[in-house]
Amino acid sequence: MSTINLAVEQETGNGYPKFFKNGVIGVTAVLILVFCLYGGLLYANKKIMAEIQSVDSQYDDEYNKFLAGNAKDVLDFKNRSTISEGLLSKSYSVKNIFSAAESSVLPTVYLESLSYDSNNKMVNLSCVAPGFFDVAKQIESFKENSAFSSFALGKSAIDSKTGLINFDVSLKMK
Amino acid sequence: MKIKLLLVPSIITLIVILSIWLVYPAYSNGSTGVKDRYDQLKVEKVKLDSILGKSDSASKLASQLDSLGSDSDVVYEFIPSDIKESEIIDNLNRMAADSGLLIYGLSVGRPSLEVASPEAVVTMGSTSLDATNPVAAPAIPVLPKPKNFEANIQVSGNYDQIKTFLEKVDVFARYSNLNNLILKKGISSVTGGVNNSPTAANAPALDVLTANVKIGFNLVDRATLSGDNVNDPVFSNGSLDTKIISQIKSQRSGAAMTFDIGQKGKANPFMP
Repeated sequence: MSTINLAVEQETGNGYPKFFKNGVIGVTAVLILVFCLYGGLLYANKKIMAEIQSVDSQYDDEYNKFLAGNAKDVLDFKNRSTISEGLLSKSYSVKNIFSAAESSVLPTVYLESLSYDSNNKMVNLSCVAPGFFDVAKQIESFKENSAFSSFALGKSAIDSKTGLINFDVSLKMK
Repeated sequence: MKIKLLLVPSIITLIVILSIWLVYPAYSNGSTGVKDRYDQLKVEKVKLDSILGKSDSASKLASQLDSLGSDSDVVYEFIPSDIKESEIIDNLNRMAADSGLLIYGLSVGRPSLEVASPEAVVTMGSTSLDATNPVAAPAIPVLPKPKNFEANIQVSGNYDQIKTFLEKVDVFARYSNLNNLILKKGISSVTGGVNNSPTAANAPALDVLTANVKIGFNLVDRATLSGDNVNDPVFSNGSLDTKIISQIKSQRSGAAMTFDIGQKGKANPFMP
């Protein structure tokens, strides 16, 4: 009868395979590293928070200094300059109104009244002419004047006392 | 032996669990992680650098403004921060008198309240530190707007005199705009029956005109610094644009006369 040897070969001195021991050491090291990393992150978080508070407080100081300083004078000057530029570009010289009227009214016609409204740049004239022929010429004269962008004829009637023609004209300045 | 065999997988599981539940949230959780705090710190440093830069720029601009001396007054004279009714009345009166006009009435209205005041500010941005919103919305500068008012003057004189007067108003050192003009022959129709002038007769003189003039003025309140306008582009510029001074000088040659009250005080205020 033949004999069978069932005994296994011993791998290590204490009964565990070598790779098992190395694995335990490795993962334990990784675990320790994870704990160290966590601790490091908590520490870094605390440090960064402290730095944020320091920067925050420095910002508040500088911000308050900025508000209390002469920056508001600079801002005020700039604001007035901007507004002034807009006003100067929009301003309309009164000379234009008078020169437009003076250059348009015929020698035979005269004005009874003149009104001007800057909101719509409208000039309303009440004119007096000796006859309807002069009224027609006056209308044409107003239309030819490049200072006006639009023309509208109002009512016209003969004054029974003087026999002159009163007529109204509305003109829009350019 | 079997328990010892489970040691390595258990530790690996623990490492995974710790990494997911502790380490990564400590690194980044959207608000309080190290990465989030660091991003917040970067934002705060940018804000600090920005305000330091603005302070520096504002100091340089203020020095430039100081170096302008009395030239900068031209702008404040053109658009003052006060209504200065007395100066308006005094100057219009002198201009009318210098033009040879007879003044029937002169009044100054109140600045319009319709224009939004600088106090009516809608906050669009924030300068406070907010961990949940490190980058604040861009602030919209809110600066005072002009408040308009009118001076109404009724004068009488001939055509040339009225024209001269209006041309003087046109170049007045303070901003003024001819809002409304009614020019009529005679006197009584515009002035509402004021007939104390030697030229005021029932039949109006041929060359006597009466003018009812509404002249627009304005004022602008002084700008104040707040969270809304600290980001104004002026603080990003290296120099202040002062060409407006020469523009005003070229268009508004008529200097505003200073108003002097003179002697004041009276024992009996009812004595003429």
